[in-house]
Amino acid sequence: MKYAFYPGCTLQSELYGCELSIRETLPRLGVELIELAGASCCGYQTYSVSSPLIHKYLVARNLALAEQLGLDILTPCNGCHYAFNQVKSELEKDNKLSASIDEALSKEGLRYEGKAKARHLLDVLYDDVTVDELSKKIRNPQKRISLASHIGCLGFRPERLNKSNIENLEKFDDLIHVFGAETVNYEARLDCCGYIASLGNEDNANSIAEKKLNSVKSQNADGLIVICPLCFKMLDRRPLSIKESMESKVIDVPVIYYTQLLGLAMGLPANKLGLDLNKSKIEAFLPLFKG
Amino acid sequence: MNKSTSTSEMDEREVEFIAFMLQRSISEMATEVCDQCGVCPSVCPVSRHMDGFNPRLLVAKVSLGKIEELLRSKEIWTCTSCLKCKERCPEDISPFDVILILRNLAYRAGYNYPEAYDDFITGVRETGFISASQSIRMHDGSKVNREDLGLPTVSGPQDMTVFRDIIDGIIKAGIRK
Repeated sequence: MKYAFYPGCTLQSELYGCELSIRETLPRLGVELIELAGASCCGYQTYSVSSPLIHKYLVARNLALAEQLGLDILTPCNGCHYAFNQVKSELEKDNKLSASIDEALSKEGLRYEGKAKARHLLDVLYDDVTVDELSKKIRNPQKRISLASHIGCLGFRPERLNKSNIENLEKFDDLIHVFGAETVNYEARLDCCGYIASLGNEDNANSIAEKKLNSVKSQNADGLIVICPLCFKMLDRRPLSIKESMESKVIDVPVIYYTQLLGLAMGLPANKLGLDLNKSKIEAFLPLFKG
Repeated sequence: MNKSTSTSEMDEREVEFIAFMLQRSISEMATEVCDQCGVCPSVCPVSRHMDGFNPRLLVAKVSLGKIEELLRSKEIWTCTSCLKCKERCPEDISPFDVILILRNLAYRAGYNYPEAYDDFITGVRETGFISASQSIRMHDGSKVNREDLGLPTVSGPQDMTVFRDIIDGIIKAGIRK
């Protein structure tokens, strides 16, 4: 298993803990990560507002770079994964668009033929590595913990883009059960983290995130586990501003990135997994797989 | 919120795009298509928190032709893009797509919009990415960057001059046919 690794802007510019944990765990599971040299922003759909054509061009450009390497892209980001797949399907249908994009790509000696796929980290773990193989690589926990899972909106919506999307909710929970952990149901489970709303209105975004975190808190879960970097940024790094903006007292929910917990379960040291970079209090997870 | 200073000309493709969006906004979103059933505000995570944000009313305003009012409103920038309304709409209308179209038009028209939408273009022009790699703070207060952590350098497009010319070309005149 070999992929062109595409971290995405948010992960590579500030969420180093998440990135470290991906790079530490995946090769140990037989997933080789190749750098996608020359990559740019994915072309994030939200920013299609600024320029729909740049949005599509950037997607095609990154896929063309992967195509040159003869590899599919692996990305942990729901936003990148969605943009790649959405524009890919548009390019398949719209010859005029793909001709225009090709002309722009040719200026960098690139060509888009639609051969490279974009795979999400979740799918690679579940479909390629598989739950059975994961189980063989990880230790038994000291105790059974309960986790609230948050896959992130674009991890399972919209269903039409990828028929199996809705199954991703189950897939993610199955990947968590591997740790001997239970996943709790909480009211705001299918709600957004609020990240995109923060572009237009911080308070609005914070109130959405606060609702989510408090909903987790009400189930007495040991923590919240996420797989999308944008959700991690919103739920792990923003709680202080949420606290201030909402005058809320109950935001101390430990937030851990999936491959961080996976790394701990594989017996890797916390600093290799960037756990000292999490803002929320994740100390209780550290001794879980020791001994 | 920012005011657009863009004076770029729009080429044929851009005009086609806008015409397409307007036509879709006005004709396809007509009242006979949207039953105003109320599913969208009931599932919308923003409507639950924010008074005055209601995707159902937003679609109603579009079908009543109140486009200008919407383009100048803050509400079109309030959506968090969770796609729940798109998923649940029984008539397959997708208030989310309507909002994306309105945002596009408001941006092009140079009305007020969040500055993050300009930061995108600026970031992509400068480094190829929305945001450049930052130094971040660890628990003990010390700051670290990618190199300190042993993470590979982010390369970005190999020839930034060529890349920037392409981006500018797209902004200025759309992709030439």
